[in-house]
Amino acid sequence: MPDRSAKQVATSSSSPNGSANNGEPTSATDVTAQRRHLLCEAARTVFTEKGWARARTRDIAQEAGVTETVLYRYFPSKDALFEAAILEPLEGLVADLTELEPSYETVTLRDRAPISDKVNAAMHLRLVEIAPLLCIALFSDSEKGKIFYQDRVVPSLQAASAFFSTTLRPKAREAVPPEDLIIILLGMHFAVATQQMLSDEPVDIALLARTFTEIMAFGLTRAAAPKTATKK
Amino acid sequence: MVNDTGRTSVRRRMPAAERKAQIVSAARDMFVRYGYSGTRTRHIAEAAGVTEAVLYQHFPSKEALFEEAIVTVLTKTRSDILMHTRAVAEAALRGDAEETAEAEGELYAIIDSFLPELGAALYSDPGYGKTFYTEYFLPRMQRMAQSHSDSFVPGEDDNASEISRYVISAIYGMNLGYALHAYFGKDTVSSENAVHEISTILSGGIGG
Repeated sequence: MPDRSAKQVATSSSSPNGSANNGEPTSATDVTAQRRHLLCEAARTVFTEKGWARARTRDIAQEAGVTETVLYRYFPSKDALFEAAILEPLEGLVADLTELEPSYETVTLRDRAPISDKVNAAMHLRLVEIAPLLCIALFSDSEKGKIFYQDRVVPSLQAASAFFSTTLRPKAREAVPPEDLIIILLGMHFAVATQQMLSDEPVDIALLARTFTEIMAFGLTRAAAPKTATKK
Repeated sequence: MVNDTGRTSVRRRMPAAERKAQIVSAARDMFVRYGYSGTRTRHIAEAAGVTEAVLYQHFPSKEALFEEAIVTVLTKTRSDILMHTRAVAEAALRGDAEETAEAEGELYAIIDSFLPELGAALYSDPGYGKTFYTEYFLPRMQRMAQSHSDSFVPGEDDNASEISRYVISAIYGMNLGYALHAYFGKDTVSSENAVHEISTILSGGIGG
């Protein structure tokens, strides 16, 4: 559960020198970046638990192990913190994809499936982070949600779809253009992430990634074939 | 109005049923816009043109009003979504592209037109969404994943019901992704295009 580990990192940072990266030297800018990150993580935890209206900056500061004054040095308002907390994993998703992109060039066509699994696993983990706040951003005021979606989500969709423009084969691109594929794929992962959020049912990430990779490549028939019989 | 024959009273009082319908309609608009926790009964009353006291004559609580305005609608929608998801899955498993597209068209139409209500009930408030999901959706979805794991995952597999759960989520999610994009985005989404792409993927994939 990524949420729980996020909480551990956040609370362990309450000691002044306690950093997540095991005693590596940290410059002032590193500390700033790291603290921003911890505050964003704490914000995700608190917003997820309490929703928009009942989440207090005081609780978020406490969750991150800093004072409210320190929080306001980094983020001028609850709005600003909320936006950073949701944009961080959205941009993280684009970074994940960018990182995986070169690996597609080095493998033969047969060996692409494991990389697609990695793409799906990365999408799952990011959507678990994003989904609760995205729900708040879109549905706590649907008119504001439309503005948020158009201004903040769509650019990330476009950046992420660039990944499929370079990695998808022409035949696949023709069937489903990259800008549509990203909507479909993120929808699939949004559905799983929100179900996990609403029911606390555990997700077997490897099995989920495998199933989604196979659905995309071969449709339901192959995805539904028994995994135990699948040899690599 | 049937009762109006012969009546000459100037200040005709609105029949209770009509007033109630007006409150429900205002409530629906407010819940869809501001979600469950963001909506106040005072604002619903204002939008319906009645006092809060009148609202409470018809509905004892915000929750009761939400039940009437949103949940009642979704009870039928839930069954429809599950039924059509199953139809899509079965057709896609047979590799029947034409029938997949037909069932998928119906599934998309439902998810697309009830997205605002689904959003208000499931996604607008973590606390309420959890209750609604675990009481309304989860039991039926689990039953469906269980009862169809044989057909979704032929042969012996310890993970059969888990995989069929992901298959159901995938079908729902593809449609949800497009419906969200259509509702919140600026681009006009062609539902025909969405349906065509989704059924292409489900009935044969787009290649490894």
